[in-house]
Parts: sequence; structure tokens; C-alpha cells
Amino acid sequence: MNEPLVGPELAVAKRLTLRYVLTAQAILAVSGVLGILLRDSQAGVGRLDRTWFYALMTAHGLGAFVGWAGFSVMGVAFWVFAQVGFPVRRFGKAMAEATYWLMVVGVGGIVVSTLALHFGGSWVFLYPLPYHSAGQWGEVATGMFLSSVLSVGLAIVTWCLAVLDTAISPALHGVSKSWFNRFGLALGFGFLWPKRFATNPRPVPYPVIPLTVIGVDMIIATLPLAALLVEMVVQAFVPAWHVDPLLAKNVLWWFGHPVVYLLLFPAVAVYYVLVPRFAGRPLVSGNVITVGWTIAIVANVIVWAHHVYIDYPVNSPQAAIDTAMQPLTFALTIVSALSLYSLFFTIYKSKYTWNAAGTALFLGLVSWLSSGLSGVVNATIAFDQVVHNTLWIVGHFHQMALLNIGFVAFAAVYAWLPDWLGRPLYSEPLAKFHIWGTFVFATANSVVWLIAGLEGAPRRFAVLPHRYDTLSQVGTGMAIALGVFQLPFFWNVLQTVRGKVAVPRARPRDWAAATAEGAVVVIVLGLVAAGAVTGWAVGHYSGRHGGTPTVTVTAPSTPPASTGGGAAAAAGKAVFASAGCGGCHTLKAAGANGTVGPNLDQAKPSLALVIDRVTNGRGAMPAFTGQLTAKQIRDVAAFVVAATR
Amino acid sequence: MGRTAIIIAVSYGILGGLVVLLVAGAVLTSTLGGRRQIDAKKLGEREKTWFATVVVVLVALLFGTIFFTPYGRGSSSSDPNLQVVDVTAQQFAFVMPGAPLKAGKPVEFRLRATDVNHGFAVFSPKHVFLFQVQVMPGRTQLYRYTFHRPGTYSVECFEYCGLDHDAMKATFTVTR
Repeated sequence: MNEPLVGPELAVAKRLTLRYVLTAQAILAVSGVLGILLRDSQAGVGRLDRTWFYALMTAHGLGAFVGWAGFSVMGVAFWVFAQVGFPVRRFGKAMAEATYWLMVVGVGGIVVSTLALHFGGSWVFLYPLPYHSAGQWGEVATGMFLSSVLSVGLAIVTWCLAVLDTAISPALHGVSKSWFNRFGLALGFGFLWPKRFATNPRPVPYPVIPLTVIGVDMIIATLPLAALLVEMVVQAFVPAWHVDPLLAKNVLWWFGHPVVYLLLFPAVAVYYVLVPRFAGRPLVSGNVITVGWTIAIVANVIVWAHHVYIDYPVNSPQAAIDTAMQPLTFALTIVSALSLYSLFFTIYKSKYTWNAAGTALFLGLVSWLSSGLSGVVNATIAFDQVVHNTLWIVGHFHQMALLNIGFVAFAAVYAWLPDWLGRPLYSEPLAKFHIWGTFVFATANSVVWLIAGLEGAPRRFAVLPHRYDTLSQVGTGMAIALGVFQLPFFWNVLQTVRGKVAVPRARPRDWAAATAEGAVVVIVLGLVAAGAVTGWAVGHYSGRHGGTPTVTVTAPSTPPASTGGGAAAAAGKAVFASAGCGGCHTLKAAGANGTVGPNLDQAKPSLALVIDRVTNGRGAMPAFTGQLTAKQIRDVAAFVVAATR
Repeated sequence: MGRTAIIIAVSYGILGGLVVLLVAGAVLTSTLGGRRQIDAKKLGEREKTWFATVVVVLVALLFGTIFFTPYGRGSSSSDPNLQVVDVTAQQFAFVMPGAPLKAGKPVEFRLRATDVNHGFAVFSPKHVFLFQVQVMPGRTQLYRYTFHRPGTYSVECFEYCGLDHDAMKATFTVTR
């Protein structure tokens, strides 16, 4: 049963996979550019306005994680099934089509709601932030963004249905009529209970197991989130509706953890198919790996609270839930540890094929190991208290999503694009160049984040405190180099699609392969150092002008009227007058000429600064808490900011 | 870097980095040159030993760290030295009393949020990260800490809360 499909059944998988994968690479191009803009902005190179920074941050996260890495491996899953002889049947095909279009609609809606309507609630849209936009976006943007995420969520559910329908394919398991038995087989139970789940002539192929596991888990994980999203969409227009923020946070992470494995488990399936092929021997594995997968199917959906370790408000059971989930999260790492064992020993002492795809898979495994270890840090409550919401987390998940999952996506393209298109890859050397360059710079990029995080640098800061300037500047050099190294990838894919083949250059044969690899590594490391120095120099130079860099990339000068910022500012004008602000301050827009305090037209304070000063006072300025409500303070601040920008 | 951050840096950076390099190096170099025989069956069997090793390491790490959670500290103690500080977090400011805190005596922060989720992260006068905790609308969050050195401590918001999140900061002083 492990024989690849042929004929029309193969063609179905081929068409599905190709469409998913090519669309995903287009999304990579866009979200990659956004990522570079964000990294540069933090280093003071092309500083983005806050509205833009947070909108781009929201788009980049969802685009790169779900739209690229997720979408790629979701598509490749159908091809993996084809490689081990599992055809996508009629129901599966319908679901796969639905998935594609739901995903495209969702990603499109996310792009419009963030880039055009400035929704900047971040990709976790932590309840109830979408309804407190401080004038940055309006309810239309909120409604559109949340509906788009709902569309992506439904895409995940339909994909799971397609995967499960394919996994329990009766044609391959003629041994049993019961779908339950076939389901057990697909989960690998045949390895554990060979009599109860007997299969002929061999047990289920390994790659089917992770796909089945995630197919089950993502349905369990996504449905509660879908319900929350429906509530949130309604709440955008009917503010009387609301839910408990603590419950909402738990529901978000109930989905938010397993969705990482929506990326990882199909990637593992690809490793299970391709690594043995490139090593020229079957996967080194005993039955114990199915123990790992059985743990995973349960543990995966009961570890969500490791994302909320530092939430434990009084009179809530959260502290107990959080503590229980440290051992459960540890249990979930076992499946990664076993898979890495199998895959590394499959390569060990083999005549491994060091082509672009094989290299990408090997480097992906290395990154899986290193990001798995940083993940154990996050999973440990005592450590998470220090690294939570710092750039350490950002470093960790870029290692995991870009360097592990992303490399599987690259490997799949390099290994299988020729099969999908029926023509050879444009250039193998160019592909290798891309893989090594990406590995080195993306790793360096992540390491900078890990260090910054341990130094206490927070994530999701449009402007970081100055003490992190040097690290940001080094990081921006890495990010730009990483971006440049993607150009050969897109060129390679484009030329392959167009049916071109690069003319191979005559290579001197006296170089041993090992020497050539070594030289590549040395050259690339040299480039990293050069990139670091350049990034630092550029950032240092541009950061010197007056401390706060002033380069601004297109930004609306006032919040758009539709976002509610206008209403807040109008209400704020009345507050400004009634609270007597004009007695001390000059503000032309309010007709105020006070001279006791700073002239606001000249000071042009930020929203946060006004809120802080009005709330807490300072020096001669009295604190207005008690006299003004929090809303009135926000309104008056919005007015001052709008009037002085 | 604080003490915990140093522990992480050393254990992840040095030990972890070494493990990754060793594994990567061993696997990479073993494939250069001709193919050698491995006993796949034996390695498959040895997976059980590896499984047991992983479990032992994880259990050790679990028991080494689980007693260092921040949970269950604070409130309802009648410590006469306890200094209670009420903090209200709101977009985009922390409202907290301006009176200085006494060094060496425990402080209990009682945190509330009026609008969205915020994070309360405290840095030492030398900008070393000390601790953080989340604050959620509709709930009270406690955190107890004893400051030993006098000086000006700073607070940064550590949960993304909207447009001016990165500018949401505060300071407080600790005196002898």
C-alpha cells in the first residue's frame, strides 16, 4: 500500500497541491516584505507611523504563519497522501476546494482590513482590544477582520475533513468495513495493537499518522474559536454583546496552540516521506513512535494555558490550570523528540542526497531541534515569566515557523515542483544558494531576537527603548539579507513555471563536495558578519539624528473619520474647554492661550503622554483622575493629538 | 540580564547550542563519503531507550522548576510591613500612587484594567527586567515583590494594547 498513486488519482493531488503551494508563495512575497519593513522600522530605518506599524504587524503575522507556512504544508499534505498511495476521494476533493477558496477569501479580507482599514489588533486580536482602537480603526474594519479570520478558521475545518476522509480510505484497508477501525489504523494503532488493528500487507505508512492526528485535533481546536469569532463579529456592531475576557483568552489559545501543530504535523509527514528517500533507506523507527503520536493527539488540545502562564487573577481557577499544563506540554515534546531521533538516525551514515531539497530538510531538522529547545524554555512557568511577550518568543517562533516549517515548504517545492509541472527545476545551484543563505541569515535574525528578549526587550513595540538600538540595528541587517536571499527562490519558481532551464556551468571537478559545502558556509558566514556591521552602521548613523529618527513612511495625518477617532476628538474638544485646560495651555484649535504649562501646539505630545499627564499629573499639572472619566481623558487626548499633528 | 535570564541564556545558548552543533555535525559528516551499514533494527529498538531518557530529563526539569511558579503568593496576609499599591492600567497609562515605596519591605501590587488586557512589567533602576504579570479587565491580579535597592524603577506595558502601547510607561521610586 505504500506505492505512490498513478493516473487520474495522482493528477487530482497534483492539481490541488500545486494551486495551494503557488498561492502560498505569493503570500510569502507580500508578508516577507512587510516583515522587513517592520524590522527596519524598529531599528529606525524608515520609521513607520504607529498606525501603520501595528496594521502591518497584524498582516505580517497572519500572512506568513497561516497564509504561507500553513497554506503550503496544507497543500503538500494531499501530495504526501498520493506518495503513500492514499487517493483524495470525491468528498475530500470538495472539501479541499472549499478550503482553498475560504483561505483565499480570508487572507484577502485580512489584507484589506489591515492595510486599507488599519485594523491593528495584532494577529491574536486579544479580546476586547478590537473594540478599543483608540481611533486607529473602526467597527467595519473590526467586523471585516474577524469575519476573515473566521473564514480562515472554516478553511482549517474543511481541510481537516478532507484529510480525515482521505486517511480512512477504504480502498487501502480492505481488512475492515468499520470506519472506526480504519480510523484507528490511520492513527498508527496497528503498530501498538497488531491484532485489533490488523492491516494487510503492512502497517499504515508513517506519514499518514501525523496528518490524521492533526485532522482530528484541529476540528476540536477550531470550533470553539469559530463560536467566539461569531460573537466578536456581532459585538463589533452590537456593543451590548460581550463575553468574559478570561474565557475569551482561554478560547483563543485553545485554538492558538494546536494551530502551531497544524503547521508542524504535516511538515513531519513530509519529513517522513522525503528524508528516507534522500537517505536511501526506510525510516529508522520502532513502534514507540506511535506511542508518541497517541500522546500527541490528546496532549495537543490540553496544553493551551502555557500561553497564559502569567494570567492568574484572584478568584479564578487559572493558576491551577496553568500549573497542570506544564507537565502536559512537556509530554507533548516527546513526539518531537522521537521524530527527531528517527529522522536523524535515518540520515546518519547514509549516502544522503545533498541537493537543495535534501539540504533544506536537514537544516529544517536542525532548526526543529534548536527551536524545540527554546520551546521547552517557554513551556516552563519559571522561565516563561521572564521571556513572556519579549522578543525571545518572536525569535523562537521564527526558528520554528520559518526555519523548520518554512524549510519543509521550500524542500517540497524543490523536490516536487518538477513532478507537479512535469518539467525540471530551473536551477539546482540557485536553489542551494537560497537554502544556505536563508538558513544562515534567518538563524542569525532569530538569535538577535532571542538575545534581545533575554535583555527584556518586549515584542509588539513600534518603538523600542533606546537601550536595544544596537541589537535592532544588527537585526535589521539580517532581515534585509534574508529578504535578498529570497529573490533566487522566487526567480527559480517563476522560471520553472515558465519552463526554462538554466544552462549548467562547467564546474571544476577537483573540488570535493565537502570542500565546496565548507566554502559555501564560510562565505555565507562572512556575509552575515558583513550584514551585521552594515546594519549596525546604517541604523547607528540614521539613529543619531536627534535621538528619535524622524523618517516617516506614508501615514494618515489624523485618524480616518470613519474610525471613530474623529468622534473622540470632537468629544475631547468639549472636555478641553470644560476641564479648564486652556487656562494653562496654548492650543490654537481650542482657541486657548494659557502660558502656565507647555504650549501644546509646539509640544505635539503623543496620545500616551497626554493620557499619562492628564491622568497622573506632574509638577504644577494636577491629576484629573476622579474629576474626569477614563473615556473623557482619552477623548481630550485624542483631541490634543489630532489638533497638533 | 536578571538571574533567571542568565540561567536561560547559559542552558539554552551554551548547552543547547552545543547539542545542536554536535548532532548536526555528526549527522552531516557521517553522510559524506561512502554509505556505511547501520543496524536499523537495533536503532529502532533503541528508540525505547531514547524515549525513557527524554521522559527522565523532562521529569527532572519539571521537578526542578515547578516550585518556582509565581502562583499563590500574596493577599490575605496580615504582614504589618506589607505595602499595598493599587494600580489601574488603561490605554495608555498606569495610574498608581506617587508615594515612594520602602526598600526591604514586601510590596503587593493590586492590579486592575479598565479597558483591555495590559502587562505590568517592572525594570530595575539599571533597566534589568525584574518581573511581569498580566492585567485583565474585570479581574484583580496580585503580585508580591520586595525591592531591596532604592532608586527609580520603571514600568512598561507588556501586553499589546493598541496604538500607543509602546509608549505606555510609568515610574515609581523606592527609598530606604
